[in-house]
Amino acid sequence: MSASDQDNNPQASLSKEQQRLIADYLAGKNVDAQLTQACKHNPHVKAELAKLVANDRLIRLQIDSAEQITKQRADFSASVMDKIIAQNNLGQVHSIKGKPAEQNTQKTTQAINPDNKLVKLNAHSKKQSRKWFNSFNALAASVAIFVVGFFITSFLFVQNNLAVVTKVAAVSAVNNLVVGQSINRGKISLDVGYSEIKMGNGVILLLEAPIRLDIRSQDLVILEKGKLVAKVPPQAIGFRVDTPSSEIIDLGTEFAVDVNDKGDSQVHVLDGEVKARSSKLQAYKMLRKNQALSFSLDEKIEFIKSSPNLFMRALPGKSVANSDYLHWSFDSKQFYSQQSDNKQTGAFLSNGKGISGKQYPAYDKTPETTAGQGEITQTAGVFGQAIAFNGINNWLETDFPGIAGDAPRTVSFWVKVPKNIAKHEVFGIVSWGTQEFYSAWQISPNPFAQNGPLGALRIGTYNAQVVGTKDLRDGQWHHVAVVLYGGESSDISTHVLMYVDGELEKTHGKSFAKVDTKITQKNSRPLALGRNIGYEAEHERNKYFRGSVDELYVFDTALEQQQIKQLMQSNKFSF
Amino acid sequence: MTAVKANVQAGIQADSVDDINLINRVRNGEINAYSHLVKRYECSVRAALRVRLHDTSEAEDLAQESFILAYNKLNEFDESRPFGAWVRGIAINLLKNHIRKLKPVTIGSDTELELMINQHIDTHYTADNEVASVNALQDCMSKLTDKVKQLILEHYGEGFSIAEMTRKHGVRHSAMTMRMFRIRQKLRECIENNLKEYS
Repeated sequence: MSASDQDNNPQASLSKEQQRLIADYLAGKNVDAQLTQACKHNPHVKAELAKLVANDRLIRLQIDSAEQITKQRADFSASVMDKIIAQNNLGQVHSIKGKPAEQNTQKTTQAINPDNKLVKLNAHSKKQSRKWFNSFNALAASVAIFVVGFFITSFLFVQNNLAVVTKVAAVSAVNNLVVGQSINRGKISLDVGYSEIKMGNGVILLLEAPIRLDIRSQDLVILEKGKLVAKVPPQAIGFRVDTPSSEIIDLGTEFAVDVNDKGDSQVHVLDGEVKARSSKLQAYKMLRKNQALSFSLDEKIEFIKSSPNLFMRALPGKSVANSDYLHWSFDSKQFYSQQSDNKQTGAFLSNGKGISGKQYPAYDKTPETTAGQGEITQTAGVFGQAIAFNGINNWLETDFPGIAGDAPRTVSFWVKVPKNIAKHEVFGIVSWGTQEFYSAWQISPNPFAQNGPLGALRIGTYNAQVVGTKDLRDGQWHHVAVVLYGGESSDISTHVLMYVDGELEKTHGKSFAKVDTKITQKNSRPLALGRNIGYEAEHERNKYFRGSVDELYVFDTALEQQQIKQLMQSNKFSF
Repeated sequence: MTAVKANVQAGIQADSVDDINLINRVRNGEINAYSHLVKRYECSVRAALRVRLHDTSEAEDLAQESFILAYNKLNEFDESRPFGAWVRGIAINLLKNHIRKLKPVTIGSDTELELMINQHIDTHYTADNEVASVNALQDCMSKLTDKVKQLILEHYGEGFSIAEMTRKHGVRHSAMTMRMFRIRQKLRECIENNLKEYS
């Protein structure tokens, strides 16, 4: 392709939309499909994109080079020289001096012949030189050797009490992992749910089912299948995870490993540093925070996009034994006046323990002016009566501000979603919070294919969401529950569990963002049902939810699966 | 002359000794003389690879391999040709092999786009404008305001994603996306204006 003059100034000819697409791509948004099409249709898009990508890469080079000078990063020429000296010492190439050319040629053609992995030629020199010029790696290497040594001697001792189970969530009753149980050397597996175990050396492993794990020692586990996240404290640096296709050594970090059914594996570094390789014959690759590698069984290694949001990183502690909660049964409507406008309206009272000892009626906010639409109708529910929202103007509002920040919470209710529900009728089964980044808390059926399966349970926080799997749009009653585990770093992707009909949902399109529900701002909205919290003039058609709701519970703690099942089966909450 | 500029850019004193002299010293067993050659041409080799590869550490590995391979093949080097072009040629060959080893791309996959971008870059960057672009960019970056510099360092140097920067600076995601895009466009224009001086 010849470079046209346009190439020198392609942006002049790009539309706003094309520019936005390129901007999104460079910002890491997945717009690959659209952008590929745009590039194919318009060479100027491709030219501009290529220019900016090239510049991006050069900016990185620039910054790296500057760091090399200012920081203690190994300088490029020094590491080349180290490797040359190391290979000479290893006798791979004694010296250039007086060497017959053919021998050299042989050596090098072998080196650049792709079938004779170049990697292997340099595997030695890489490892050698690392020890030479980087004492940190030298330490890691010796730790690794120590780990192996320890592993061999560990056969001589009975390996009991290597680890203890510290937390479980959503595990099945027949599963044998219970909190407090100690784990000996050998295999453990988990069919459903999550479990956290703590090794004697302080390493914390978070296991996500389905998983099969072989615990060989405190410093070595073999992940045969499934996902785990390892948090390694400084005293346990050198902790190793082996998989059928890789070997991963931690250098003081948090990292995640995923092994699929075939045995291919991925490692994602969430914090700090690890080194990994696909076989003993290869040099380790160093990985830092936000880098990820994939390993195939036939030793193909590739850098992949780092996706920390694929992994569960923390589990709740025990439920607060004495949860505050509100319960709206929707069995009977009373006439009540809301504090804000003192008008008598239909309202559904709440019961249960109350939150901070208070109860909050849910007021019918349907405008009376709409002839014939009238107020919210009642319909047969799962337990007694339920309410039916018409999707046009029905909604309920309470004076309960909701649960704030990243505090733990559980929202549980029955919902019936019509088969023919339209996109503009899904939002806002239950909601509270503020229309700002990560500050809302709204449960709806999912209308956006890019976030996950259509019609599946969705919790949105405004610009971040988690979406389940099961399509709720079948005109049947389903029990749903959304649980947020609060804590230091509640990321919606790592701390939300969703249940449909009592079973844990597999989730899609997890966003990676801190949950920070804001309830005290001027524009914050209290707990409401049936209306989209994001409703503004421009959302003209997306104001109201159409469908039926029954037995809404809101708890200020993170419930366990068995408590959710109890709610679903008996509509009662007790410990 | 770009190579000289590149050396200054890398903070290295330009050595008055010419390449042939250095190469002969290396051939006669003075290994350390090779480090001068590495310093002299690392910018051109690294720029050639870094601009063509998305993965920075792969590119850095290949750049090092190129110099090691050049050292091992030094007896084959034809002295009538420039050493810099030769070592860059080795680097480009290694890169081609590296790309060949990667899986074939299925149409419609994410990597199709990257492949398209890389092919375009490959045809538009040459030994002449790679180092020049690096130098032009350096000039451009030195003229940025501190605020923009900070954004660039956060995003490129410290690996903050747009989402993280959004939170850090308390702006909307779309605003941060466009802001970074405008910075990129500004740099791109600046580089193009500067290139005329450097080439």
